[in-house]
Amino acid sequence: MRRIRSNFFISLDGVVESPDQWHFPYFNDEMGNAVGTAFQGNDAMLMGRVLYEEWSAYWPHNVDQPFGDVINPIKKYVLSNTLTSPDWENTEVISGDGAADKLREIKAGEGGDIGMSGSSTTVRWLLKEGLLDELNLLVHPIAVGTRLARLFTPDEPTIPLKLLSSETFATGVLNLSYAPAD
Amino acid sequence: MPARITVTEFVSLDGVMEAPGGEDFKYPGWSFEFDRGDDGNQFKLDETMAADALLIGKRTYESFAGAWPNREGEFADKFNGMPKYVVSTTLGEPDWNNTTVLDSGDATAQVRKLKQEFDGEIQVPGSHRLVQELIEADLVDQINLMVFPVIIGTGKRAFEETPDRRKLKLTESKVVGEGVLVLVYERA
Repeated sequence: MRRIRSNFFISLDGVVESPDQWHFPYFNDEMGNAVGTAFQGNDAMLMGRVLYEEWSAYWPHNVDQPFGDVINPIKKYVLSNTLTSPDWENTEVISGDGAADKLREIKAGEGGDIGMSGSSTTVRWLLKEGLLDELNLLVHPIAVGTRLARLFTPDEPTIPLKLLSSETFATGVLNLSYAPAD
Repeated sequence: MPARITVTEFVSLDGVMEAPGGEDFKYPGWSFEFDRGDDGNQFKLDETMAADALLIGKRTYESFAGAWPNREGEFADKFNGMPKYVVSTTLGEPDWNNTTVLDSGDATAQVRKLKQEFDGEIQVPGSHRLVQELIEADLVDQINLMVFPVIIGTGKRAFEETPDRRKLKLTESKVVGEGVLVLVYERA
């Protein structure tokens, strides 16, 4: 079974939006290694339309940068009901009522794990559908406090989790890995 | 030396702190569904014993005053005995032993005064609205969190939206029981 593994930079108060505004002071080798490890074993990426728009506007023009050599050729699944003809290489759009079944089919098929970076709307939907296998959070020791989007929005169903691993970096960042409880 | 103010909360992974031990809520008492282990119990006991006073809002007062006076044991003796300061304009004569009401007309000013005059550690458990005010006024020296492995999905959060960013320093982190995190943050 291929796993869907999601990854976030998140503040202590749960903000995941615009990490460029608060994440960089906490980046060090430990975090670099954790990010690298999180993507080991993945041979596809899953993202929502917002992240697709952002990345597809940038990475095709920056193929020689670190990550550019990985993200451009890798298989990309985009969950969207509005995106119809993606220009970015090796991209497949998953849409409509059958999206959850389609993902179940992909997970049951051949291949490595499927990585995610951000895409909080998609991750909330995956959690509700029971399709998410790993929720990896790099919790930064800062309360961002402002009107930036949080990973978890109100009026969501309750989902019990289990903590798979936890690690504390010298910067006070926590590297937490959760999975839905059995 | 001014008092040290320590906020202490049970939170879910999505930051909900509402009614972890009971009260009127969609999922009352949700924190009891998790095993926090001997280490977790010890942390809470050590934490409670380190307190010299409690500072709480009205709802937390009502919840505590409705429970602790009827209980026995180390926790109960400590809670019942130590001074309690309640921020409220509507609470009249408090029944709970050793309780003082701070008129919440200007809660921040009253807490600032208390902080100057009191010697020791003042703990703030629960108390959703008060905590937001204290954080905003930069009166909080330490935040102790016990993070339970669940997305509750609704309810009041330990950290609501505030105008300012606040950098913190993680001074302690450990896993207790079944995947429960104990985190201690101080002012950076």
